[in-house]
Amino acid sequence: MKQSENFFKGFVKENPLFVQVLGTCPALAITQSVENAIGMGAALLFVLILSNLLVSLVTFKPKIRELVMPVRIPVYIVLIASLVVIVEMVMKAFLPTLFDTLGVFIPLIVVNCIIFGRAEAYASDHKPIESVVDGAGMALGYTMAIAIIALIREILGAGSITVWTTGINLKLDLGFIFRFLGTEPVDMFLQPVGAFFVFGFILAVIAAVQNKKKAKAEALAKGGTK
Amino acid sequence: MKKALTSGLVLLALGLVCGLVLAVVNYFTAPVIAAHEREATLAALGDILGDEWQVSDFDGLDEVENVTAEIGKAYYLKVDGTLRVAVYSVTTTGYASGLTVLIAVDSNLKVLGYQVLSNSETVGIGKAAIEADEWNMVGSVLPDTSRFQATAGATRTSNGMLNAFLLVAGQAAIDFGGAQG
Repeated sequence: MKQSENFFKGFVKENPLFVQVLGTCPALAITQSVENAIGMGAALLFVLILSNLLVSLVTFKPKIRELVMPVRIPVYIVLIASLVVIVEMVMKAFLPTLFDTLGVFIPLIVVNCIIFGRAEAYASDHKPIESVVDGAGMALGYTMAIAIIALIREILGAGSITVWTTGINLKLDLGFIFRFLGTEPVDMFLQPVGAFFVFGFILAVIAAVQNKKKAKAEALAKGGTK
Repeated sequence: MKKALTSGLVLLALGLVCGLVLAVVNYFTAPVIAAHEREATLAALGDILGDEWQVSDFDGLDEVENVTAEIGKAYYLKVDGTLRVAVYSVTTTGYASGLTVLIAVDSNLKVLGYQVLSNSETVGIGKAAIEADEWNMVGSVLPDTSRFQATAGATRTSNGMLNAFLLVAGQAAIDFGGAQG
């Protein structure tokens, strides 16, 4: 597989959230604003790239691999937990507001299915460079997915798009659209139920597109055999 | 057997290396985190003393940590060595754990002011109730909480806030030796 294919597979073909349906807890819990999604995505990007790299390094050489494989799960946990604690400390020191908003979901990255999944299914069997590219693609694909959910939820629920507020204020107020329409944002979209609605709707759209493609391919195949 | 032992040693070595790295990161981030917390707390102290007192009125400030399991920190503000105002950082549980409130009381156990420092309450419900700040406790003489206004729909957040005042009432009575009139 080419490195570009390896990188971009996480965006659409093997998107961790929309295709593999992994890492749904933080995706539903912290997507009240785009800023939260970006913060969570950045934390995941750091942890996933380095965990893939470290797991690949300790399992790549046959001699070390032989020693690590019997205790690989504790090894993964030690590596991933250390990376997550680093993210936690740095974020608490330099982005305290974002840290407070993301709350418990930062330490919970330790048990994020995507991180363990990539470590076990990919990094433990591939070279370090390939593992880093895979980690970056998967993390950015996940970030893109939660940013889409956050964008929909924030626009419909708060009537704004908050990209970043620490240091620079990148917030777009879309209240005028709601005023023009004679309505106001629906608070429900900021609640957990709103997250389920948006996530379910996106999965339904993806399933509908896939079914349509499948039906088209089947029709073509049938037509070809006649 | 030997292989298992070697694998265990590899895990141990990895744990030690990770511990060392974390210690280095902590060395750089811990002072920044402590400074943030102190800055936020001092800013909040000035805000909650009300009109009766200013931070500059006091010539002594004692900080005591871990006063009780819930009261993580107490600030004792003194004039000529006499305790006049105590400010407590109390952490209770609302809808989620970690509802931290700063409450200032004077020697009569009158609530001078309060401020929620951090919370993980639900956006739109608990957070909205905290932002609305309609608990109506400023001026109450503890442990009387009859003026407390709970917020409909945010019962657990309201209970967390009420509990914070009750915890402070108990500690302030000890610190001031009962209301002093």
